[in-house]
Amino acid sequence: MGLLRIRAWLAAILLILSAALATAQDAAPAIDAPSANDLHEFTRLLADDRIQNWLQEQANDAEAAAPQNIKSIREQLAEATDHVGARVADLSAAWASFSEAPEVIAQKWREQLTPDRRVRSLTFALIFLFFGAGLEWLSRQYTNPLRRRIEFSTFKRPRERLFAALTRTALAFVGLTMFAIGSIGAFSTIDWPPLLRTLILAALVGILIVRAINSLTKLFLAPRVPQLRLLPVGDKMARVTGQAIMLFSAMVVFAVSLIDVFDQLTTSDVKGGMAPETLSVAVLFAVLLLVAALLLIAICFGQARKHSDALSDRSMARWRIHLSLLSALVFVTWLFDVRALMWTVLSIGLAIPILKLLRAWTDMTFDQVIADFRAKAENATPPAPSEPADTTIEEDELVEPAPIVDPYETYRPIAQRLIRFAMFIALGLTLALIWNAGIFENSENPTVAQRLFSILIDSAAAVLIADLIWTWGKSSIDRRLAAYKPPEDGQAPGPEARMATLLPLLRVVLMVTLLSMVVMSVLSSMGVNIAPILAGASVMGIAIGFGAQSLVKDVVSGIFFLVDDAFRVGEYVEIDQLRGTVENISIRSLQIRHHRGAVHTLPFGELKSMTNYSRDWVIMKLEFRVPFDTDLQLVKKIVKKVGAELKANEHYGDSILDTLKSQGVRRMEEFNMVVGVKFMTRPGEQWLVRRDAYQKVRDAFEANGIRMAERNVKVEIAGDQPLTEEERKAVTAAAQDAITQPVAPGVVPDEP
Amino acid sequence: MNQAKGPRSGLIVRTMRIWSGLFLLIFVTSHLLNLSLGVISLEAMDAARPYLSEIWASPMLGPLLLSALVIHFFLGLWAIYRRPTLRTNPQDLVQLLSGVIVVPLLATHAIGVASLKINGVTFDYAAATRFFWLAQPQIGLLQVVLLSVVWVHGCAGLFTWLRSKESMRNMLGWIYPIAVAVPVLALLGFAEAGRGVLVDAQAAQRASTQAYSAPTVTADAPRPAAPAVQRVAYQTVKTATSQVIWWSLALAALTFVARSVKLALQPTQVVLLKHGDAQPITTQSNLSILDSFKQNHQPHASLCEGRGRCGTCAVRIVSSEFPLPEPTALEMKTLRRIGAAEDVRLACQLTPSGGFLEVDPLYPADYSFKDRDFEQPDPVTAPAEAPA
Repeated sequence: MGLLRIRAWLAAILLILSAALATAQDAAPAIDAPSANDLHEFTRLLADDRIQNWLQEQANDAEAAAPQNIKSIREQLAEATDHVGARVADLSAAWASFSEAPEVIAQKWREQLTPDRRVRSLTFALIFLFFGAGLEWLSRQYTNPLRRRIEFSTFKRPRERLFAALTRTALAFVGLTMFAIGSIGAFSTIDWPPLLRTLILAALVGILIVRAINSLTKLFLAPRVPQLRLLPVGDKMARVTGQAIMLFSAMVVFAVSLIDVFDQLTTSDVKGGMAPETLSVAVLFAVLLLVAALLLIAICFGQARKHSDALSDRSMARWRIHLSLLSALVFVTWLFDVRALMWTVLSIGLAIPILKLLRAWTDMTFDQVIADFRAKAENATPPAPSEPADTTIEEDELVEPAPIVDPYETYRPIAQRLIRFAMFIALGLTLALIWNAGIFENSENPTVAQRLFSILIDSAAAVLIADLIWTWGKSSIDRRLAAYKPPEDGQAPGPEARMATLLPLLRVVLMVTLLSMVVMSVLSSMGVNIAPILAGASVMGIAIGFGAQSLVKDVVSGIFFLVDDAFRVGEYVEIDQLRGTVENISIRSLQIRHHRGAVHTLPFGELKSMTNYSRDWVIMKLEFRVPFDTDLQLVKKIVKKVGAELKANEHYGDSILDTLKSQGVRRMEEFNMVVGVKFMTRPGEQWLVRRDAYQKVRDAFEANGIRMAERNVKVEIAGDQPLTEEERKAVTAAAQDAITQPVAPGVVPDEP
Repeated sequence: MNQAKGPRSGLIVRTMRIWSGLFLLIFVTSHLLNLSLGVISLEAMDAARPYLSEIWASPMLGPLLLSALVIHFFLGLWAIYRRPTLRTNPQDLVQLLSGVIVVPLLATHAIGVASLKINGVTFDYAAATRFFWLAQPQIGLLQVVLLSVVWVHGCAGLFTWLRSKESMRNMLGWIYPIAVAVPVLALLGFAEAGRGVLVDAQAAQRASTQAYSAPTVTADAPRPAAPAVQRVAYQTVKTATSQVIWWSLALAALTFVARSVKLALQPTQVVLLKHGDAQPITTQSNLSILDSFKQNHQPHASLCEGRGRCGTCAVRIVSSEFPLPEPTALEMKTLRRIGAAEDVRLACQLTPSGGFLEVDPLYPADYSFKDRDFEQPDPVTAPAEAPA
């Protein structure tokens, strides 16, 4: 060995030397070749022991200090092949020693343990088990009332049900922990010889593991308490499946612990790997486990075919083949000792049905919730129509009940994505752990697998998170949109109408943002430098921003106008000098139609302020001019009567908030008094009411002998002689002048 | 209330079973307390022996103990014979099986110790520990099994009895830890004493090999100083022990056979049983209503596990196709105690003869006497709030 290494080192040195020489020759070709004396000296030095030792140490140090050389794929493959080859050789050795295995193991067993000792250790193990069982029994006595309460009460809501099932399992695990503390705690207080330690510990831990698996199975299957069952299976099916899982896990745990003990018995003389005898027993156990797994799968699916109709025969057959194939694959990969592959196959193979089951479970839960909600809503509806309403409408409702919109349906995709997301993350982490990819380490020189894993996991996480957010955003937006009912013709839209404008925009923005973020993060995890892309995008963004400044201003201020609820479609508004009914709201502009038909389009950015005439109520004031000799009490009475009539009108009576009433004399004018009246209506109804009010008041005045004041001029003429025709004309002309003088402007017409 | 008409035998059997069982349990507890002194030392065990263990072998208590054991064993067999179904709750099953195997397990220990006593050999704890840990570790293992089985059986009986007593509802929480502490301490004492003996034996062995440097020490452990024990009619003791074991097992087997023969010969009718607003269940006329509920996984309260003590399984008979059998003295007593109305019966004692039967439970399925502490405020506060 030493000689070989020295030779290698010599070769290396010579190489370096020759390289140095070559460069030296390039640089300075004038240097002479070494003299014979020098060479003699060199060989003498090399032959020296001290030098040799030094070189060897250096070589060893260098080897130790050399970084874990990155193996090429070919080398890795060769290694794996070698590993499998060695395993095959082991297997054939195991096959050869199969017949001797029991003898060898029994002999080792006898060698290490005397019969007395065996019995005594069994005594100790029993005592420990009793301790554990006693503690568990004690804890159970205190938790039993709660457990019984959970098992016997009925839970209406799935959340309660889930909570109850979890509590029940938690109670079981509390008992289990007490058992572990009692048994393993007592066990660990005593010093044991190694073999006994392995043996008893294996027994105790095996019992614990099987019981823990049993508790977990009970959480999902709950064979005895159907209402706490999380999986959608029947009683019989749950019992059979639970027993099958329990049996199989017990077998696996038993086999693994037994092989462990055998391994420890036999490995004292064999270095590394299992002794062939143990391996042969292990293979035997594995074959038995495979057969058991296939049998149990067959039995479970046979039961499922008989007792459950949740799955079609074809999909059942598919799952059966899937699970059988999975068992076989796991067996084969175990046989060839390709552990990483085995765990990968196992985790992926189990993740698929688990995903399906979880999906079924979410579906079932949502179905239950929705059914409960419906039942509750249907129970709640009968008292609702008891308020005064038309009987015909009530009958109509009874004939065709309004569809009950449950609030849960839109959460279903979110829940499903969330569960899928969690499953994928768990699976990814498991795989990373299996392949020991070291994604959690920050290595300087990542291997290909590490790189690949980190890229895959980064991208998957980005995509999954984005998908989750998108599903959440989309379904909540869609839910809001679905709840929005477009207004019927002739009715003003409610405040939720503006959401119908905003939400689609929000959805598009969300999608674009998420998409670009995902693309960026995937690219960056792949090692693409995204800084230039970001820079380019931001330059483009700035350019577009400048170019479309007013557009952006319009959109942004539009969003705020919509958020402020300043106007709705169908409302009568005034903006600067423009008036009209809001006809159309887009994200950039507002269209209003003037009452004479013209349509104005106003970008939101232009809006400084606006006046809305259609909110809540409108007060209208009217004036009547009556002569000075009018009886004001009578006028008040008449107005009151007219107000009552207006209020009783079947068409607009309901819209009058505050009916017509007299406000008395508002002012005195030259020739008459001005009597003010006012009323308050809902926006849009005031014109009709005003028309009728004028008409009715006029008619009532006439009926009661009250005249409207007219303009007249009194002419006083001195003397008592009758006027001649010319004089009369002159007087009339003078009076006409007085009448035609401009009067103060009256009420500004405010009607559209 | 009419006079109790039915046979009073059920009541007598029940009373005898519980009192003989309690007597045996007191003995076991005292014996285990003695054993638990092994945590301190072997000497402590032996010092307490006359007061905690030997007192039970005194001329007065000894026969009493033996007769209690025999009575309890035969009453247990009688209960198995009477039992229409074995598929009830796990605790009952554990109690039944442990009761059957207690006598075979006990035989070796009891007969061995008794024969030693008769022959006047002192068998103190020092000797016993050496015997159980060094000479015959199999028998030592058997003692651990025996202790566990006896204690489980005793606790199952005791707590079923205590749970059915309303006055004990607040005491139970304090008794449970004692019930765990006693056997655990006893086992600890047993193990600790055994470890001491083992260490001594190893030291002695090492000393002997060093002193005599004898290479041919074949014995894996030095024999305890108990050759006298084995000389005393060892063969007789052995035969007596195995006879007791086989006879008790044969009796138990006979009981099971007789029970199955009785069940096979008994004509049964189909009973359609409706519980509250649950789906009707189909069952047999030889099962009590409570057993039918349990077999069909219908939750129903029963604190005493069908012994007719607690009265929590009481049901109101809503309708019955055929007349129901009259209540026995045992059922009558409990019904009278809980102040039941005419149409109320105990589900655990009522065995309908067939046809359709509809009953209403009086108590919720998860009922325990502890609930009465929480129930009482309700009727008081409810009317007080109503006027307001």
